[in-house]
Amino acid sequence: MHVFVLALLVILAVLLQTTVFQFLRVAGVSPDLILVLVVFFAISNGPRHGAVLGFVGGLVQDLLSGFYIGMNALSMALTGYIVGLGYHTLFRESPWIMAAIAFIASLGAQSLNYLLLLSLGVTILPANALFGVIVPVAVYNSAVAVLAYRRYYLSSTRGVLRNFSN
Amino acid sequence: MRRKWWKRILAAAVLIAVLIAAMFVTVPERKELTVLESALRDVVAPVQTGLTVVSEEALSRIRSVFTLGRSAETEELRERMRDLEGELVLLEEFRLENERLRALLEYRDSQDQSRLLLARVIGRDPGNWFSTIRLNRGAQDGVRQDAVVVLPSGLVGRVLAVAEHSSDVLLITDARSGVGTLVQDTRVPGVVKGSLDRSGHLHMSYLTREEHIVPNQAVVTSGLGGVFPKGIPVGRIVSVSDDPSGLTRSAQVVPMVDFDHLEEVFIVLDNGGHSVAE
Repeated sequence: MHVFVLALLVILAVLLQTTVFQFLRVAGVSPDLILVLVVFFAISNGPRHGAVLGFVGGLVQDLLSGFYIGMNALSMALTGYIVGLGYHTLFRESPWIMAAIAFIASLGAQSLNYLLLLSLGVTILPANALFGVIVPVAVYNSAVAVLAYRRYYLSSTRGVLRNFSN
Repeated sequence: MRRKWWKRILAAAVLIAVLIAAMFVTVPERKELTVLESALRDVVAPVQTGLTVVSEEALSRIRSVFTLGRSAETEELRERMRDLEGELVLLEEFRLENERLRALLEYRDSQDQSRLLLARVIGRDPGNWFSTIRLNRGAQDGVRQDAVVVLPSGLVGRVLAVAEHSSDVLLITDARSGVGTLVQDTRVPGVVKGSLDRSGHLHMSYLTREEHIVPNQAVVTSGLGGVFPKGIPVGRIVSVSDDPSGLTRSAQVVPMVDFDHLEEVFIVLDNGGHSVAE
């Protein structure tokens, strides 16, 4: 049941990201909803679960894109793992703390994507990457996290996503 | 316990190695896609089509709420104005080319070598690093790699990869894109590149300092490079600045095409290397 709901959430995130949010771009970027979901899930369930969802979500995004398959899978799996390390230590109730985590996690994941692209021969100036993609996406993701976390938190503590790691 | 950890680390290392290898295998600009990639695109394409149709419908309903008072007629006229502006640049290109290349007018008959194939945009790259779109036309419709993609208002991009029933297009706004261009009235050459600066502007570089370049001049494709035919409207110059080296100048170019609202485009099939203004 949990896996089914989670799969639905990933699909919903992908759908919104590739359709509606393409038209709701702010500062030229759309939010990375899958990454936001990975952050939520990792902080609620720990590093292993975070890494697995990051890998699956990133791979779905890669397959839809069709190029550089593995890039998002790698960066999101790593991000999910690192965020998940805060499973027992971070205060999970506050959407503002979650927004800060989403911001930092997005900076990390997008920076890793940038480094991977550089290694693949895609030349983008660091300043353009930072102010054109990395920071705007991190800001947008944290805004989405503030708006969406309350609902996710309720679901993970009292709803269908409760005790996923058990 | 320690052995278990080593196993995990080894598994993670293998997975990372596989992902990195996959990244290198699936870089764009290859001659053709692997069978697996082609099949994957064709499986994903109908899903993307359905999603795009549904989301466009939903968004148009949402927009209609926010644009009450702005009639549909106004929106239509704006769209028409953009198309006409592109057509004006194209007409100017006809005139200039006729003056300079009167002797080559016999090539006019070759115009019909260009066939335009209407294609629907069924998806966009879900990430923020690139500007690519997926079209519902592929190899079975005669689309080939590097085929030029246009709209009446101007240049959209070129086909990056072709599957059986779909194809991916690299938009000229993508940071990886470079198009050989000319400032229309002065014939100054330059290269128009996409960027990530989110201003929506293209970047035209390698302009010579001696020539007179001012805002509002039209930019068209130069035909150099062998991919884009000559004379397709690209954009209009909005500002010009000196490069740090002092040897060349750069210009910001606003594209003719509205890339935020691409729905249908034309793929140029077999342009035969001829100018669109022939």
